[in-house]
Amino acid sequence: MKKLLFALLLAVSVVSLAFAGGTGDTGEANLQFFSWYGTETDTFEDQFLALVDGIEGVSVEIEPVVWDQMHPILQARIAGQTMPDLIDFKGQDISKYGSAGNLLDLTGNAWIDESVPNAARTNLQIDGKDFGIPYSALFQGVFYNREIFKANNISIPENYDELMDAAAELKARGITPFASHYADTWNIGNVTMQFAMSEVFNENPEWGNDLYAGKVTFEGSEGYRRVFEHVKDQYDNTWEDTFSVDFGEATARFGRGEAAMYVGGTWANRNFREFPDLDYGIFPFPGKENGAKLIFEPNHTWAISAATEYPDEALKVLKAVLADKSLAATLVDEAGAYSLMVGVESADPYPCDPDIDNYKKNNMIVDVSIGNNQIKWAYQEEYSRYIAEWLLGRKTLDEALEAATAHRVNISQ
Amino acid sequence: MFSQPRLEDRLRRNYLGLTAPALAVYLLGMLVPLIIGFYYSLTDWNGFSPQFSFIGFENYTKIFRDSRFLNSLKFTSLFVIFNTIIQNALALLFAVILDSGIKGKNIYKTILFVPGLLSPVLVGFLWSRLLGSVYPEILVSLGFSGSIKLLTNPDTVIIGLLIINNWMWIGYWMLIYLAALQAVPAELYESASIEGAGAAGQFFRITVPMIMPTITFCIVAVTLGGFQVYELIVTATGGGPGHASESFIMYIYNLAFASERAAFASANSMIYVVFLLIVAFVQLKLLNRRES
Amino acid sequence: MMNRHNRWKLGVHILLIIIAVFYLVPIGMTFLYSFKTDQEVLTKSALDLPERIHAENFLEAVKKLDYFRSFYNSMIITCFSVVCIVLLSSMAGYGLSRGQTRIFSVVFMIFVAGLLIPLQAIFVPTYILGVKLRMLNKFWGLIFLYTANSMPFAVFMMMGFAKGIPIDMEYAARIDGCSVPRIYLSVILPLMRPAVVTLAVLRAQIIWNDYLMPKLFLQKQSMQTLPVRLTNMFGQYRYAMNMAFAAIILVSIPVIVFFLFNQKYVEKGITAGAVKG
Repeated sequence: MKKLLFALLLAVSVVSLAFAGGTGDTGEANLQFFSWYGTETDTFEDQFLALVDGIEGVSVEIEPVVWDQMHPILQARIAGQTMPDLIDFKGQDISKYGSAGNLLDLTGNAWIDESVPNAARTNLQIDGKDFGIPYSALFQGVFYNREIFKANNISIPENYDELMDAAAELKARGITPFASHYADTWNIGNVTMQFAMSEVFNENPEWGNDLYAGKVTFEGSEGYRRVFEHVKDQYDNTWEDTFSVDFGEATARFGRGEAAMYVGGTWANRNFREFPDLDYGIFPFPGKENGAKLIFEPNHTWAISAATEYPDEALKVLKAVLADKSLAATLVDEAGAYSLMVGVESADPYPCDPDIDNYKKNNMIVDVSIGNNQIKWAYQEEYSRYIAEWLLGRKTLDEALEAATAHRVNISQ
Repeated sequence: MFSQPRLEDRLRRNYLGLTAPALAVYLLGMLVPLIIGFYYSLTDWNGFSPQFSFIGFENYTKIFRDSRFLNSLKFTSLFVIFNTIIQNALALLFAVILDSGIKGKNIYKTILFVPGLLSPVLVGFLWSRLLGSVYPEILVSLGFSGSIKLLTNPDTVIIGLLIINNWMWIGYWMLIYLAALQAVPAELYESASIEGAGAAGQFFRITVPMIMPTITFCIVAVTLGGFQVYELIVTATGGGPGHASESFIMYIYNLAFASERAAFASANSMIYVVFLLIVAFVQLKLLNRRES
Repeated sequence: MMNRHNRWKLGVHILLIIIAVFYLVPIGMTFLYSFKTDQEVLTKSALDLPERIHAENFLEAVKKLDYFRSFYNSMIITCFSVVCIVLLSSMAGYGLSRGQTRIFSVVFMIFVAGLLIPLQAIFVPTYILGVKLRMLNKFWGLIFLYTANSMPFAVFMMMGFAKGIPIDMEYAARIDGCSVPRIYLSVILPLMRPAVVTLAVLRAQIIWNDYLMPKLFLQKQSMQTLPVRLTNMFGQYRYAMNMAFAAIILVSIPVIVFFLFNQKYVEKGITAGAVKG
């Protein structure tokens, strides 16, 4: 008992200390920055804070959050009317929070156009208004191991049949055609959206809206049926244990040359860098016809809460960030991102970058936001589970497609 | 003598006074959120929109129509049933073994208990790797073949999760059974062995009846605990493959945050609380009958 | 006869050793990972030994976790919550075990019903409540909420324990003129020590490892707890697993040490509490 009392006394003294050390009111606008940048971007954060230090009357507190928990926590914060002032989103989130009225309208600030061209923003805009400013991008497509392609005399497939021929040829030679990691449902979600961009949204850019309007269904759509079937094709041409392989393991195997292709995105670059001997490129996921485009996705995207107490100060911070090219360059170096700021290039390009530049030059790029804004990420993840159930024999293809259609009631449109 | 009733009164007020702070804190910190949750369940709130409207009990009428509702409830119930049986049976078995005067009892006790002190997130993360690659590799090197990746097959994922959850908690319940066993008077066993009862006979004729109150307690507690397992499953399987290991709490969570139906999720939570109330009530009734 | 007995013993020992190994493999794996390089994690199997022991992972982890500050934050929250939980629940448990009228059993049932409320399902309402009560960025707010949501289990356990304390001891004190609160403090609470320590260990584990509540309520970096810092280390695409595992060890050790120090009491507490069920 004495020990317990002692501990209690000790704790009391310690805690009184903790409460005494409260921060005094300095008259500064203290902004909260809700950020899913990981701990791997320390320099970026330091540089960002130094930048803010230079703005008079403003200070920023960074509140890191992991991606998995970001939306539950953000929704709780919104419900409690304590939404953070500055938020780092993924491009795909802007339509959800922007149309609900949670975000500040940033339209009409000339300094935005100077740093991030309108073309990069169009697809995130809601009725022509900017609610989020994309800051970095990802590119998605099919990574291929240049050496394996060369050794087996395989050229870049231009359409889906050629891709499957290449896969069959590789398989016949004992090489796993595709790397994949279905242990992460998001892998299925990602590849389906890549497929859907060429099979569905290419023909009907309003397909998702039509779905909510009841004009189309998954089971009634030739395109989406093909999308689901493409996943099956990939499943038949990847390693057997894909449902227990996660992202780290899949990229490591691709890095070791254990698979010839990987349908994914440039977020894998930093893992590939652990394998200095790996030479790889990227090509767009091919559709029925030739001429598929490489997928572009706005990744880190700046937004300001509509409920912020300090809209002017938050705008000041955003303006300073968008004017600071060296900050953007740090993000490129540290996070392996592709900057959307005018004139910010990578000092240390990845092996697939020449390919990306090539597609960019030839205007062969398509913004996945078209699809993501309509079939939101949570929806994609949900129908990915139905696809998994189909692959594992728990549902028929039609049941999976019907279940995907039925899920639309869960999305507030 | 005449002051007796007044003393009773005073004592009762004192006892209530001692209970009051705990009750106040609990009512404010836990029941008020539950009531707020109930309020939201009567709206059409999507979870992030500033506007929503009051729609009465409409959400409740839709609950049973969602196939994921039944699916997740089925998974959760299966998980809980097996979890309760395995956890109690093995905990009791280990307790009996350790109580038999074996050497190194304390070391084993500690080893078995420590997993219960780790965070469920860590445990799920560790075991998804162990079951996904480490153990299969070992088994293959020993000459086994076939489907040994428990978490990747919809039919076996529940087995994998049961292994993980039991690894974590058996030690804890074992300690409780051990404590109960030590309280059984030794003379009972002596007289039984004079009568010629074997080990099994002694166990069922003496041990089980003597520790029945503990068994009741453990069964109810493990059952309720099983219904609330969440973090461990999220980190180990994320509810997959497909929806094969989606527990009910995960379903509620996904409705609220991945889907945009916070209000509907709230309605589901309320129904779940009622469901658990019924389960606990039935279980106690059944077990109490056995006890007496 | 003796021989058969010995063989049986040997068999049990072998079984126990196998079980112990099964129990220790995951923990061993954690340590193996924590000593590897990033490259070894990516390129080698989980149970391969690292080429050499990379203890610098731990130094890195201490830095990333801001270990001493986060440790201090976690410690304050855990200690204080546990003290509040123990005090309030032992009072209530004692009161409820002695009260004879119907109201006591009703109150007890209200407490126990709380065991059925899934916390994940009410975390948004809890946050709304916390904002209204001005609990953001306050340790006391979190301590209050932990105390509140521990009450069902704690009161349940303490009530069971208190029932087993013979009432005769109180008569003696009452004759000496002691009031009920006085009896609680000087007679009952000391007798409850095993249950108190047990409850403290069990709750400390849950509070120490909790992520969601501190993440929600403590929004300043300087107030973050160990699990929050640890979770931040798991980036979406890329994280250094070796360092993460070193961090996991650093985060888990305090609560294990706390248990080992109190193991003796924990067992006594469980003995006394559980038998009465």
